[in-house]
Amino acid sequence: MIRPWEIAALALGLAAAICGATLIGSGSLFLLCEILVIFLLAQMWNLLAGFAGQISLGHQAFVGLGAYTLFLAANETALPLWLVLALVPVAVGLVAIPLGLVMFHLKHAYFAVGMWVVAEILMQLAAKADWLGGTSGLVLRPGGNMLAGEPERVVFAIAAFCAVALMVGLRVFLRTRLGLATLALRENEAAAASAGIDVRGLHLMHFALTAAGTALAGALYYITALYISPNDAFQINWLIAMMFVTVVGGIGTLTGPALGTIILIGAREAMTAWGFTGGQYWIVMGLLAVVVLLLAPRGLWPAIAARRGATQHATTEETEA
Amino acid sequence: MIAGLIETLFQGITLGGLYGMIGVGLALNFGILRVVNLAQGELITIGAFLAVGLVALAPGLSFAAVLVGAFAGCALIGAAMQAAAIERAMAFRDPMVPMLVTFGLAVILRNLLVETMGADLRGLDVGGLGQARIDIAGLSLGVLPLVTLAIALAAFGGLAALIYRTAFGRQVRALSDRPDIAALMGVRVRRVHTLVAALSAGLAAIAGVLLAMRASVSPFSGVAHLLVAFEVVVLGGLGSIRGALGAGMLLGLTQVVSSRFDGNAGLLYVHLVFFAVLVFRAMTGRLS
Repeated sequence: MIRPWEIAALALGLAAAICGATLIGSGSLFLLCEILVIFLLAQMWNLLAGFAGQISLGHQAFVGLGAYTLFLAANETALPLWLVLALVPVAVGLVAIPLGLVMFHLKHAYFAVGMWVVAEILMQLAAKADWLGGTSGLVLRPGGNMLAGEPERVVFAIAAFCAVALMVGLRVFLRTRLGLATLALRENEAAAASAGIDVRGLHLMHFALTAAGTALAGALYYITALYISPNDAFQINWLIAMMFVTVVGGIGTLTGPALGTIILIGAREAMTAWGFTGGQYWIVMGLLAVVVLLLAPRGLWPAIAARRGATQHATTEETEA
Repeated sequence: MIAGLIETLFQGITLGGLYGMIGVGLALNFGILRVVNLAQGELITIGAFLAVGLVALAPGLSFAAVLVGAFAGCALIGAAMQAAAIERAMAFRDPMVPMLVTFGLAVILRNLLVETMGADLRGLDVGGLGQARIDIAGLSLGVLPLVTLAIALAAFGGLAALIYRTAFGRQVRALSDRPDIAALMGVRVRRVHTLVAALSAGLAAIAGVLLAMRASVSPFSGVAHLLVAFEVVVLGGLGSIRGALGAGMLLGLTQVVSSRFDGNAGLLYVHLVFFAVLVFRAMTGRLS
């Protein structure tokens, strides 16, 4: 089960999250919140694509669903904002189960495109819904009042602890029976099925869990933004960030998305500081993705880990990395 | 009443021809190379911008020359992408790798377009053609949609003739069915792959020119085109050229009919019809 140092990591993460939230300046906190949200989103996409083997081109649907659920529930009820935030992943995770049952009739490319169409449908429905503010969207007013104080401090603390807890939780999970089944699924779906693993059930579990996590990350992001619109919340750029971070960092590894997030945001901050435009930044990122894929198709982290662990336990490095 | 119905049908069919064109390049690429090309939407946009640029540089150019120029330009880009990156990615056994490479290429192409062209909307000025109408058997039909449909049908016909009637087409089909045996029989695999990628990109350019005549395009519209292309390809049966035309027609008719009832829904009903058909086919086991 959970190992002592993993409990220590959790405690350390909690302490760091609280210290950071109280000590770091507000401007840096916004950037850190964005980094953490992108990491959480990418790790969710990675869990589904890299471990469960299901490429979804529509996970931005859950970003939007999570954020809209939060705004609506916070604005229309008297529930405290942070309680609503805790309920968002539960609600979206539950919605994802029937959606998954329908979507799993589709395989591979059909599933990927089908998910994208689901996200587009939700975007257009949100744009048409007057009770969601239509195309102009919603402003976050919990219980009818503007949000007081500095919500980014709480958002940072939650996101930072979630990021640490997710890494520890996934490590622990991959050692359990279900986790081992997931790894088997990653290596070879047909072989896993013939070994008695309930592939469909496992797919559904990962689909619902990643939907819930994606919704939570989306809700966290839009608390710092205070404002939401359909074109923003359901935009494909969420998916592009998730895919880029996972693909460059290392698909099917736990550390890869962390590395990818650092590269994505680090390069953006550096290139902006040097005076490059957003377009030039994305050209460089696109080139990086192509080059990494051609030289190390599983991403940077597996390539680094394989080199580092070549002399010792290379296999455990790769499965647990 | 009847005239209105026929007018709606006509609009749906012409839009359907355009949707079919948007999808056919993707269908060809997937059917032959087994690569899901996420850069197809960008190639469509680039085709439109090439046409706009050609008209701006040489105002006297005939429409046919513009179409050929856009086709050739995009075909070169498609061939270069295939030869430089996608072909190498296809060597990995995992089909996800080439798809993700095209995802990176799409990001590059889109932002190159933004950097060189700016983020403005552009359209092709078709002069009086946009309003021109002709009367056929008592019906007044728009000339521009007719021209669009004619070009789309000609492109589909030409593609079918190329694939099913020529020696090159035979090589392409052989390569699609049994790549290893085709290679043994002396088909030059890489060359055929590059030519198919060029052809597919050229078809995207034609779709882009037709789009730019009908409405304006921006460097960011590639993603929307890619989604329509996907819907056409998936509904038509992955990789089927004839299926792409039929699926385009279905989606085009859906769009025109639904906009009669609900004018500001974008492609909502197209997406809903696509989704419903897809899930229905999957549930009844009629999805390969």
